[in-house]
Amino acid sequence: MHAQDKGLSRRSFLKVMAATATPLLLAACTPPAANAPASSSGGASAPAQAVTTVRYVAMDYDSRMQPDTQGVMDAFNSGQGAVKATLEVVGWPDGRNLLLTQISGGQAPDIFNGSGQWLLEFASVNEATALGDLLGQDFLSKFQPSGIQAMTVDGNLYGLPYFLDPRGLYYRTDLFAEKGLATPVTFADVREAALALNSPPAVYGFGVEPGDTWWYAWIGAHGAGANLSPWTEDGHSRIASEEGIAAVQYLTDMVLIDKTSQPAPHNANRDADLQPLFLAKQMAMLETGSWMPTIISNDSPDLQYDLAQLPVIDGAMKHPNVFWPDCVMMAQQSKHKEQAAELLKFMFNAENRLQFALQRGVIPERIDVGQDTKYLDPNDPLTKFKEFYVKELATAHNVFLTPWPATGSEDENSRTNALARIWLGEVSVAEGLAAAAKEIDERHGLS
Amino acid sequence: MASASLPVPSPGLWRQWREEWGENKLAYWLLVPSLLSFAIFLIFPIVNMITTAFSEVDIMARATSFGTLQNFAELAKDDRLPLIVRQTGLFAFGTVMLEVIISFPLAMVLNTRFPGRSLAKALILIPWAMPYAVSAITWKWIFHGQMGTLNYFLSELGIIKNYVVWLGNPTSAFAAAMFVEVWSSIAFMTVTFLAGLQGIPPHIYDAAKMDGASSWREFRDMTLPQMRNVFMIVTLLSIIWAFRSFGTIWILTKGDPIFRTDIVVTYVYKLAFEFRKFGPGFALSVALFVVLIIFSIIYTRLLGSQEEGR
Repeated sequence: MHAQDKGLSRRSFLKVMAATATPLLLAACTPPAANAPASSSGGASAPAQAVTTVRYVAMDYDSRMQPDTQGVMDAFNSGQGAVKATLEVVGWPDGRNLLLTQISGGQAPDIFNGSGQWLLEFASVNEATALGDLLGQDFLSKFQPSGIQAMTVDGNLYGLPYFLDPRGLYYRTDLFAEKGLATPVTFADVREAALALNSPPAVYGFGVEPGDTWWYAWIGAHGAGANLSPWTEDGHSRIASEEGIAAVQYLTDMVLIDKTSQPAPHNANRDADLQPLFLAKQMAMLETGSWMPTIISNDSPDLQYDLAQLPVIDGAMKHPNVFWPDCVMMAQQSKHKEQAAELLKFMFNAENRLQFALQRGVIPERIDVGQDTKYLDPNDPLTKFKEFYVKELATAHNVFLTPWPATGSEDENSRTNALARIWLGEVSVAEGLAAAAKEIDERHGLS
Repeated sequence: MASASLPVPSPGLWRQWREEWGENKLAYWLLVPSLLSFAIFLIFPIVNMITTAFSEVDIMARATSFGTLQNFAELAKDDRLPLIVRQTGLFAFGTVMLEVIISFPLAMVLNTRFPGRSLAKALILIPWAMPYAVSAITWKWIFHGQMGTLNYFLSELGIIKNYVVWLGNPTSAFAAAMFVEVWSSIAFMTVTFLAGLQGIPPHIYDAAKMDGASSWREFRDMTLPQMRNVFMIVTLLSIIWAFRSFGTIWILTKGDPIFRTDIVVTYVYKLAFEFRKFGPGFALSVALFVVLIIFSIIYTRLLGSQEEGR
């Protein structure tokens, strides 16, 4: 208590602290400055107008996403002065949680991209804006109908298709030629080819994992034109139906009897396990998406392969397809819906969608871009694969369609867990699927 | 009539507080930023977690109405929960038991003089110095079914014929997760045991030798009793840390296959961020919080009694 004898007293010290802290506190409490008016492009005497900022949060597909998308934002901004688009690119793993936090906190971005599953979730809690009237039918008529349909809930369009990814069966033409095998068309063809080509660990016959592969088998067991939804009209799960059992039995026979899949398919991941094996020439056949030719040309250019339609259970059936569509949505919380719609129209004009397709190696959502010779360059060796996928897009089924958007992830988990138990040999196909269907129905309060 | 001096009444609480404030005003003001941080970053999230656990929560994690046990009821109906709790218990207690069994003899060895002792002490610390994420990713690749070095060396040595998918089988995946946890945590236990051993006064061993005690008797009657409190503290802390071991399991297996390597903390993450069931996720977080609080109270009481005993 003798501080007063030793220089600065406590009272003086407190006064100094208060004097230092006060301006800092005031600065922290000052509201942000209002937007500076944009400089007008013509006429020095034109009055300054307020600029509306529209915020776009984008999930990245690759390391070029940021500069490529920023280029689009810059072009939009420089083409007019009333709306300023800002961009924030985040990684997919964190993206949904980031959006959730921002939306829950009342700070949603104006527009954001995401999975088609998120669209259903956000629409179900009224956090996505219906876009039909904002964008107009004339604009929307330029898009692939399957893409628009995938983004429509109860007659309202809640997003623009952004990344459409139909699938195909990639097979090694060199290995097929050695064994004199024809292009696989049916489940039986695939199984036969896998048996003939399987030579582990050098080459595995067929890539299997419990996520996407189930879908390929499911739609193959039904054929194009049939009801491809795993839900009945009243919301019951159909995964244990006759076709569902046939689909999983086909995969299970390859895993447990033929042993022509890679090891531990119950635990496999498409991107981490199956695609790398195919690129490393350790897999004879793989079902995956429209991005694969670009990856192969970059990472394994000497790989000899071709692309076939997804196999069907019966050769008389037409081949169906599926996609996992991504989309760009507008938040219901957006206070600048019309301005955000202008940005959407710019982002989704033909030129920008062509650039996006060429940059990302994706299939164009716009019909005109899919027919553009700049996209289907006759000199590009990948063009035949692009043509294949553009055709397949027309009849692709949206896997995210569900009457239960709030439990989409959990329902999928029930199915993949059932497949894992089946492929671990713990239960039979019928038992595993029946248990999963029951679990799913009970989750929704259905018996 | 003369009376005995009246007892001086003790000052009231308010007066005590005023005197305390007057003497230490500066100190209390300087505590304000820390207290604010504590309130914002610790108290607020905990209170928010508890209130949300007792609220209805939508898929955007927004609490819509307070005062319901619905989340706990939904959790109680979860068929997976008994499995997750069993696995959590096995993981936490199993890893700690293994750590103790490995670390204590290691500490005893390091407590003796031998050539390269300093180098050995430094090497022991490497697993502890590595960030959990780096350890887990490294071991994930070592255990990889196709390209892992473990399979390579085992097959070169003729121990296995076909490569094993270590992280694909539920049993071996769980064992691998426990192994990585033990490997990462041995250093802390070893160093703490070593410090405890070095704190034992040497004269008690001299006295024991003079009495003709054997090495085993010295260990049983001198070393172990002296190390008792160190054992208790280290074990309790390690159990608490094992309960919270998210990084190792998530990076190694993500709780797969089929939830067979999930523990409570990874399951909380799945409930909330994969299944969008934020309500039950919050409820399970509260339950875990209560369990860890109980352990912490036990630890604090034991530590307090140990300090009083001195």
